[in-house]
Amino acid sequence: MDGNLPMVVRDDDAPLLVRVLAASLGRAAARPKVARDLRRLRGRVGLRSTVGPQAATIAFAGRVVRVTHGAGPDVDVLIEGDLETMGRPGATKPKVSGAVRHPRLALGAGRVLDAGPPGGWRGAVDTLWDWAQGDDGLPELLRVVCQDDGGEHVVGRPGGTQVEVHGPEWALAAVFTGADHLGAALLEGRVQAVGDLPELSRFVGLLTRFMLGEKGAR
Amino acid sequence: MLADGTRMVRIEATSLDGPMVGKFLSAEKFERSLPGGVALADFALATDLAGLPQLGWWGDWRAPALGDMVLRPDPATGVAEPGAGDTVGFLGSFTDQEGTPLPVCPRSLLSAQVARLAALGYDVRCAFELELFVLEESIAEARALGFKRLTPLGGHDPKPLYVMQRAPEYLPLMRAATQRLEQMGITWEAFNDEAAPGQFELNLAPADPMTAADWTVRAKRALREAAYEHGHAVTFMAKPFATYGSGMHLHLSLWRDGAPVFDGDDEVLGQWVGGLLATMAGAMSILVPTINSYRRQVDFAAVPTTPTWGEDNRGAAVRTIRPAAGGARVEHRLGAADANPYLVLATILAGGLAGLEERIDPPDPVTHLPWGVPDGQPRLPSSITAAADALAADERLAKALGDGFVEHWIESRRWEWLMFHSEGGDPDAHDATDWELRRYFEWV
Repeated sequence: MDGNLPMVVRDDDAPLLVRVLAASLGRAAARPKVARDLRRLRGRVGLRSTVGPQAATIAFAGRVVRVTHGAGPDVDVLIEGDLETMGRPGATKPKVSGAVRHPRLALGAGRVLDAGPPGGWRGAVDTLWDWAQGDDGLPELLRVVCQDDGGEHVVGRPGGTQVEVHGPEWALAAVFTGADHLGAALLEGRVQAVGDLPELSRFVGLLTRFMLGEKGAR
Repeated sequence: MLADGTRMVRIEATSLDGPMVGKFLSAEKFERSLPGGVALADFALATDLAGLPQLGWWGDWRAPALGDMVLRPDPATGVAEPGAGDTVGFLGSFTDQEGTPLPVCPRSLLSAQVARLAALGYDVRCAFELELFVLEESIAEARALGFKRLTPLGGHDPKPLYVMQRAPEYLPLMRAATQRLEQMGITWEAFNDEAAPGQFELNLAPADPMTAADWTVRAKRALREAAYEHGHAVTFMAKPFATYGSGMHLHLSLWRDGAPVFDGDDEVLGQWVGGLLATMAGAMSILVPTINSYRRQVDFAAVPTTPTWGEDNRGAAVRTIRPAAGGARVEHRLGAADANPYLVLATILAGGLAGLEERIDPPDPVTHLPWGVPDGQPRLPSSITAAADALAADERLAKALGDGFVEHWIESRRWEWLMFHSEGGDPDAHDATDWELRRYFEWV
């Protein structure tokens, strides 16, 4: 590991939101520009769901970023909203408290939390593909089709197991950055898929591990 | 296989999470289905308690496009259905189309462990203790309330243990339940008022392992049906209320050539206990299976929280009991009421077998109550995910129960965790959440 990259840490048996945030920040921290932003940030940012009990705090302290469960009154900036739908078209904008007193922290945190991989949903697919090499949920070929413009992105080699995922750009970006769960997105119709059920199910497992940052757990 | 006059057959088995699944068949259809059994969609073993397909892994036992498995009746389980003279009930096991037991079939998993013990020359006698809550409300009323704000039979106020003066309130239901047991050929020994308001315990007689597990799932059914008839609901949730939780303790003795082994052979008893403790962290995933089960795992609540054993020690996970008159046995106190009896027994036998085969010495017994131990001393896993991780690390249980089952089980526990957190379950809640009540009250 690059000693200059910020280290993102969390408790071992943390709730879902903590794991998702830590995994997402951990992946983002591997990119030099985001790493630079992270190293400059100081302070505590809370995220709290307005539709459920989920809450987490991200403590930025230079080289160490710690994600913990809950968002207490000691946070400097508090982001409140529907964490499930945040980022989807038409979603209500989150309420941000403390941004006036801590503008750099609020802006910087917003930037790193939104820091998807370069290249939009295609870049997200590439990032997942690289991350997942060796995982038994990875099909030999992954075809992703954007329903907004018909564009497609194919990774892997033909001739073996194959999975296709179709969806609008925002949904593909959410699924392939780990912001949305592929199983839920499929069951609720945000994306569609083509593939044998065994392959699809294993691929959902792979994306769940990606979402939770559990590489090597199987 | 059917007596004259039979016009309907009820055939069923537990899914992994515990609900009975099966079909009612006409007598003619049942006879035609023999000897193989009746087809059910295999996703009955791969959906969660909310009916959602579990996605994220795949077992080779499954047909690729939601195909069939077969529920094969065990002729030895045939009973006249209580109150329905024209209906016969069978319990069964899940097989593939060729009749091979599925690796995730609870009854087959137990059968395999019994066979392993028999190969070593041992028989087992065992009995479950079932704890449950009886509610003032009917099941229809409980559903209408979303299983919230229910009243335990007799009210919420704390009360003593074993009280008899409320017998008129619960005796009609328990009399009906025990009559059903007797009609199904199930030997019960006792029932009593328990520690929490509305909580009761039913003790079944010792039997061979398969019979003991069959009796237990049928006893749960008898209690539910008697409660239905008497306008009450029952639940086998481990911790539906903030009071004491419900367990499913198992009393077990080992026999060889018709003689009890634990009465005279301390070495075998020690190895059996040693195996149970060596596999206990991983076994916990199966014995304490749900999000709600872990709410019961608190110190000073008559629940084991440490991997310990002791002579007549109710604080330890394994309590050895050696009456002066003979009848030495082991009480395994870890199981939660919401666990699947077949899986509980299969897992406990697998642990004991590991102890015998590897001659595992037990740690020293504890003589104190091992609750509230200082940091740094061994404790049992405290969450569904920690227990799943412990099972994933347990090579003994994977070898005994099979990778096909263990992998499926571990993934299903992680799925349970994911559903709790993503469907609004509150990680900070001290008591059963709405999500748990909706998911478990009626089905475990």
